[in-house]
Amino acid sequence: MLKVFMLRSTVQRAASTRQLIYEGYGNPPEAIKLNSTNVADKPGAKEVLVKWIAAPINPADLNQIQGVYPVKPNLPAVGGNEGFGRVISVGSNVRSIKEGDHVIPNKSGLGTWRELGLHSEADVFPIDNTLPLEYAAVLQVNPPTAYRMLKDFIGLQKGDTIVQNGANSAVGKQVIQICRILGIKSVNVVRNRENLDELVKELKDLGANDVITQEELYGRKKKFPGVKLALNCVGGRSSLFLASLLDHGGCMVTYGGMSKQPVDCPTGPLIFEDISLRGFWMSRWYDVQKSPEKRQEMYKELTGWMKSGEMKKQAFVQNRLEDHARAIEEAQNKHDKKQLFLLD
Amino acid sequence: MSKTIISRALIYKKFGDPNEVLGLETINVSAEPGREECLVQWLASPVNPLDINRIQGNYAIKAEPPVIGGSEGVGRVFKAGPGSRFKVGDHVTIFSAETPFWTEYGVVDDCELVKLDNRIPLDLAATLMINPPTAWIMLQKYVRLEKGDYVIQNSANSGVGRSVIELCKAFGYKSINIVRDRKNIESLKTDLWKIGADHVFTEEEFKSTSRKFLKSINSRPKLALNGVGGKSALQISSVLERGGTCVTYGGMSKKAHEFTTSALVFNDIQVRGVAVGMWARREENLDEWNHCVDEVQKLAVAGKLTAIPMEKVSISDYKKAIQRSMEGRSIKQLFIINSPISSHL
Repeated sequence: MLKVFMLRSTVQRAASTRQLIYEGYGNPPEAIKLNSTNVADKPGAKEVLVKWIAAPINPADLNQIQGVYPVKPNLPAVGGNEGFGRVISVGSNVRSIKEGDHVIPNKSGLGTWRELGLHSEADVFPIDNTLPLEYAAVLQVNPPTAYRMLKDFIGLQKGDTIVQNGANSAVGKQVIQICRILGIKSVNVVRNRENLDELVKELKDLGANDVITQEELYGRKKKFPGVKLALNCVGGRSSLFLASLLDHGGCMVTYGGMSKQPVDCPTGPLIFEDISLRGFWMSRWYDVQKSPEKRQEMYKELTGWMKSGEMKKQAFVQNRLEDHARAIEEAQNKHDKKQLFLLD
Repeated sequence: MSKTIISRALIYKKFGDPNEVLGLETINVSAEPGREECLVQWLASPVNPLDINRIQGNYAIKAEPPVIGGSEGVGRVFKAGPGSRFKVGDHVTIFSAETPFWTEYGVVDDCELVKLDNRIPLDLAATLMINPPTAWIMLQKYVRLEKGDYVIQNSANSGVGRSVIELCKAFGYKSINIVRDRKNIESLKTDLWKIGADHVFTEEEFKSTSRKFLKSINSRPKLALNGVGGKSALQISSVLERGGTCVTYGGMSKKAHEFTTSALVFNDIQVRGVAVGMWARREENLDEWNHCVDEVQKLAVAGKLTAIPMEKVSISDYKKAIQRSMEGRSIKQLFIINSPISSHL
């Protein structure tokens, strides 16, 4: 131990890295700055040096920079909560990770919009090395959100029906695909739009059983018997009608609030049908896991579906770090395409 | 030919405006209850919002008219049929899908009757089977509360609200009570303090002082009880402790219940609902329900549950009572159907 320590102190070298940081909360396109810094290229005993490969821009990243997200890293902070990288060296006491491993963050607020990062062993989590970039960069948040919401609230059986709004969102599409794989029927609510037919086709190709517009949901003409689970990322009126579709004892899980309206729920289903409302936050699920087994088990199942092509790759707009202002601007204003930083 | 008694009863022959469809009629009731039946002389029964909804045809469970009104009440066994487990003079109430309380006399099957302790004052006995059990179930069945834990509720002045206050006091929980602002707010607050409320706020007061208040008690409620809906549901559910539960039992505001996305997602609250009539009829809850009724009666005998303020009216004055109930500005109306000592046949 002592020897290693002395060796380190004598041959301390550093590598240069570029990163996107924010020094104070503000409007993300302006608050984020590109800078260069040095990281020690020799990790400490319990540290790993990660060469980050790809990282997306998620709504939570933007909220964090605005200062309105519950996880608030110490400032100045490197932006980004998701992404993956390759471990290029490990400290002498690192046991769970080895050089060459692909890793994703193991905590919120790690800062993934950077080329190189020196991280504590406990703050990253190894994943399947053979998983293609488009899957690995977004393995941590959306697929597990869909997966856990389908597994953790209602014991769904093959042939059961779930309903979701925001079905066109990234999580929504994962929900459709996982339902198809597990033999669960999905009823999917989307907003009406010009190219509705195209969207309906896209979602049906992913495995959606039914796609209806918000107006059709409010019209209540179509009946969907036996709905056990509703997934809500919109709120307001949409959640009100979603909850009304639930069968006796059903559950509506909220994981987002795109309409910025509170979650509305009618009295009847609550008190006569014994439905319940819950919420889901992926970060908390990760936080409360005492051991890695459940997480490994989930990633194994998900990466299996990804590698077999049962779950489709997401479409991205690829950006370099120096394009950050435009990329963040577009992430804020255009929700149809996910922005991704390529860092390698 | 069997003997019958002439009984006056409030009956609706079709669904509609209670001011119009409800009428005082005369019916014949058998004076000879059959095997395991009782002839009950009804003493008192309130006009609940539920009664109004039922007469309007707006309630989830509908009994086809003609129907004798009423949803809870207290009566006295006037004559017990052969093999009945009751004896003359026993105080009873009905717990069944059909609840014909608004009649001077009725013959009821033993299995639909529940014995009430004769020591319970009549006004309390007449209102014992809905509001206190609703409060009891909400406080007992959703969150494991310890002595000293906080419970927050809106509609604290309602029947359920007052039961919640009294039960919290009896169980050692602290109650935070939200009421709507009104002219006589200070005297209402005093009323609620008297029956055991720990804290009483108007909605506006709580809005402006909740942060400071919650800091001062150094704790957050684990349970929120919602009888109102709309923004009021949001107000009480968003101050819950992480993982806390909001239980809805009514929607007086007639607005959808609102909950913040962040309370659900980040604070992990759960939202549930209960209608005591349905809860109690579920097979798996039967033992619990009987236990609840026993406990509520014990608390009533001990004076730990008290009757809410009610205006007593004769069934001849039903028009006034129904009108007042629908306007919602008066206190609850209680029909006095028979005087407890009268015994004419």
